[in-house]
Amino acid sequence: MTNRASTLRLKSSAGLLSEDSLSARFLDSPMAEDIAEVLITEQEIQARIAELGAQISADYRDKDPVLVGVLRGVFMFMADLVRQITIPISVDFIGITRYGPSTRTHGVVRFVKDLEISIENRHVLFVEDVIDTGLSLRYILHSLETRQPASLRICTLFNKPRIRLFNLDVAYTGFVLPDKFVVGYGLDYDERYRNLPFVGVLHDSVITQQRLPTHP
Amino acid sequence: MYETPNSSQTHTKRPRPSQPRPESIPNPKRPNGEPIDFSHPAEEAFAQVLDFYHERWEYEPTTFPLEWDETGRVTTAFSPDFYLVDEDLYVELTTMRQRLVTQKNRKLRLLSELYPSVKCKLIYRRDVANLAIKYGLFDEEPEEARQVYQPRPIDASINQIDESGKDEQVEQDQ
Repeated sequence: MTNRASTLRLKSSAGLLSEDSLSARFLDSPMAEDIAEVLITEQEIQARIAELGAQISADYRDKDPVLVGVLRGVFMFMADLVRQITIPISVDFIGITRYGPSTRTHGVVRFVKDLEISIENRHVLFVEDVIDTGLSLRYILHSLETRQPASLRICTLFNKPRIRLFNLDVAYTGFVLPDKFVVGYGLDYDERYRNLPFVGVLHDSVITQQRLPTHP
Repeated sequence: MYETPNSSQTHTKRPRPSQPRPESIPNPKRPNGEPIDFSHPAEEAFAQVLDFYHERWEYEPTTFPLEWDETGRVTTAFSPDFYLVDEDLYVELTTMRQRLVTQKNRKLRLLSELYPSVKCKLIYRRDVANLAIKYGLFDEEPEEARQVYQPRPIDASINQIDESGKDEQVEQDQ
């Protein structure tokens, strides 16, 4: 085992990233040295998704639901979730611009990919990877509601209700995240780390680009 | 308008029956079209994010008197940073150190007691830092501004908050 792998294993919560775990293949990954702590293991994620899939299968029996996700962070959760759902479903994706350095000076949020399936009179389950402030989700839900679905509910794998700005009725939640910036399982930092099968916290030294000015 | 509390003064913590009933004070200091002078870069960045997502907001539109002295003069007041119009929600960002956050938490408690119909969300320094990472809020900050505000790397900020996180959690739970 390399020093990197050893570091990752030692600093994972409760030593959950062992060589015989599902994520052992990442012990020698170049990304491993960037991870300070594993918050949620691959096994924990997959077990929770199985529970969510079973619940959704029961709740939407005979409703032929449409699962809608917003790219890109949700791709991994959606792929695993639909494989745990045992009833007939449809799946579609939308894409919106995200606020960031490249969009800061270019106005407002907009759709860059629309649904290809009509959701009118369909039962829609909107699937998110993570909900924090709810700003982007609120914009998306407004758009979906105008298309007159039979119902519209929310499923998120990760929830950060502490910084929620709006009242959102989340029907299905996988995990409530602590107030830490996390990566993995679809969540990125500067478009990296999405492919980690677990959720982890980056070393402080990795996040050097963003600076929060102290209060004057 | 209210006066800034004097730390050397002794004042009551609650309005007495003979004192004025709690009543918010609108701040008519930013007519339409006038550039807003944000008191902190994080506030300006947050306003840009709200604009991006079509959220209607006002900056420090209202002052809430919280404490009065024996003569009825306001000694403590609170002006939340943002008002989200469509949500009827006030938002206060804090980039302060923990000892000042405790004072802000106290103001929030008073606000909820005296103005129970007013909704106010406090976003803590660590959450602001996480949003800064997520949205890339400060990666294009001019060097001059950094010198003015003496910023520290985000990791140092988070470490400091970690050290005081226990106290902050206690405050939130109250």
